[in-house]
Amino acid sequence: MSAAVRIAGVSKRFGAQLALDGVTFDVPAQSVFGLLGPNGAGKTTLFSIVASFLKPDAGTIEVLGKDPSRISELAGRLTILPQDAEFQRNTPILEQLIFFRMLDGRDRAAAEREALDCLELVGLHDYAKRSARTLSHGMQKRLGIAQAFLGQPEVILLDEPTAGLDPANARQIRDLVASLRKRATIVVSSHNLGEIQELCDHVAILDHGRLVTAGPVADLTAGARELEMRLSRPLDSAEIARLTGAAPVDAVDASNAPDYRLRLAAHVDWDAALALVLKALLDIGVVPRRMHEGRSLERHFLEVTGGERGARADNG
Amino acid sequence: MDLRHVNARQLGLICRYSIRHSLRSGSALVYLLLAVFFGLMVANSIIAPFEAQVAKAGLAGMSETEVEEALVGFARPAVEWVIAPHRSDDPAKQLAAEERTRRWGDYLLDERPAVLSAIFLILLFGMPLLIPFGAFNQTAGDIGSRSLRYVLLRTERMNIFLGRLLATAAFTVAVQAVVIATIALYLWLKVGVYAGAAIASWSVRGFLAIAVSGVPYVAVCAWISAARDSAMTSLVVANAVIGGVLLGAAVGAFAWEPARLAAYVLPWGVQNDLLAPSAGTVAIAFGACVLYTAAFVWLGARTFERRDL
Repeated sequence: MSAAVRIAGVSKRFGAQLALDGVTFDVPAQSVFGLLGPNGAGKTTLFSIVASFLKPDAGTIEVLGKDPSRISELAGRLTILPQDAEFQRNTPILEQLIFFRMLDGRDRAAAEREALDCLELVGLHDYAKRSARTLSHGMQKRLGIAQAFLGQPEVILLDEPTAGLDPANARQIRDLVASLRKRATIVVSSHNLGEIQELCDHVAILDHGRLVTAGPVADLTAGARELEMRLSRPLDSAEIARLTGAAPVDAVDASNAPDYRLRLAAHVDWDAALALVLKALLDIGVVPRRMHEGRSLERHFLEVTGGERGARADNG
Repeated sequence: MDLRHVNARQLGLICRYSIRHSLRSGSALVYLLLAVFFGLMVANSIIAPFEAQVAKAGLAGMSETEVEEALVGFARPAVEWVIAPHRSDDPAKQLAAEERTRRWGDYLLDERPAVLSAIFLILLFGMPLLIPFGAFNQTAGDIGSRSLRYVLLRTERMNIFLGRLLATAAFTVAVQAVVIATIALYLWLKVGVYAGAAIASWSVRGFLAIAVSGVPYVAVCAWISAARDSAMTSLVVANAVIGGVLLGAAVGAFAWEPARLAAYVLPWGVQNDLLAPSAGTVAIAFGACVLYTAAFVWLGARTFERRDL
């Protein structure tokens, strides 16, 4: 799979603070790529460097084979939802979107049509003539998403796209991103690891400005022979002993009962082991309510970023 | 400064959009009001005493010579104050400077409409101090709010910088044109002591002088704005730089005469020459203003190209 974005040895320092330290990875074309990391990991800095808002101190970036600092060579093929950018407060939002699209080379009529389509897509069609200062935070976020989807971008960078949105709007945005899968390469950073796992096929995890890991989500979460289960009730120690005796289970983590994490023995077939575990549970009258093969992305994230500290993933 | 990627279509779009945006945001209106108020106040301070004298004596009761003497009399203090020569310890140089000033004064007061000459000289002096109010926020506010980020992926930085600079310069010059046209029309239609052709030709010359000398100050503001993240800081710095250079040169010259040369950091030292009688002097002043503009645009563009946005 070819790379839509190539990040090679990128470093960035703000005064004494090293925000990014030699970050290198590729974003495969037509993938939905998640960028994860705890607070201050450097995610937003990396987005800003890819979009050429910030100049790297070292390293190179390629987007669709071009240097993004020469943006005219990308001509509307790269868009971004920046994290903290405001729209111009006193100008009607439709006029702002038309202006953006006209800069991409469209004539006014086509630009207006596309801008209205995008506003419709995010449920802001009725607010087209309003100025940005009259919109709520959530509406402004949706407006930012509308401008990121304007035209036919081939690479879309979304920095915390669902932050500040109510669940219905967040779901709408996730569906929108999912609908663009295979049509564009989408890079998403998010607080919500479940969201990243749902949306993304590849991820990279940053911590303290360094790349900790990168690769397909399936590889990262299936890296260990583990089974995460939520059971109908907690197990007592005798029942856990019975489970490990009846099924090829090397260890049981019961620290979050009734959520259990089972490490299966390495030498047995996965399906056979799973059948034995389920049988053992049903024999003691316990019903699995939820089950996940391998590690969840959240678990992997916590492991590679240092446990509880990593759980405080935030905008970086 | 890399002009290879400048796109004329995008430049035009950004320029038009910027003018509309600055009108909506009110900063352009503040400059418009200040410039119109200042221009009309200057005109009033020179024309009103003459009108009062005419009202007392009646225009019909004054001979042509008396009218001319009255007009020159009201205009002379302002003209002499602005074009007064610098003192020199060398008597020959001092004499030559005084002779040059006398010829210049005759040209402004006797050969051209004296009242307009006085008004133009004061506007040449005062307009640069007002320009920051219209030009301070070319990019600084949008850098601070990061709203530029929506545009940065759609056009080269150079197009943004130059488009906004052109918009600001165009608006600044347009306001100056409105001020001068208003004064010229009033002088022609209401006061009625100069021929229309004389007023028109001298007004065009005065407008060109004020416009040409104003553009370098717009470019200075563009440079300062590109270097700051806050519109307010940009306004303060722009005012401090433009006013500070003039004040520093004037005050410094009392202690050490060559300090007056500090005025040449900005067009302060050459801008009055745009109303000189000699075509050669005017051409040099014009060329200097073009060079000042080019230098400040280059510095601003370089800053904007290289900085984090």
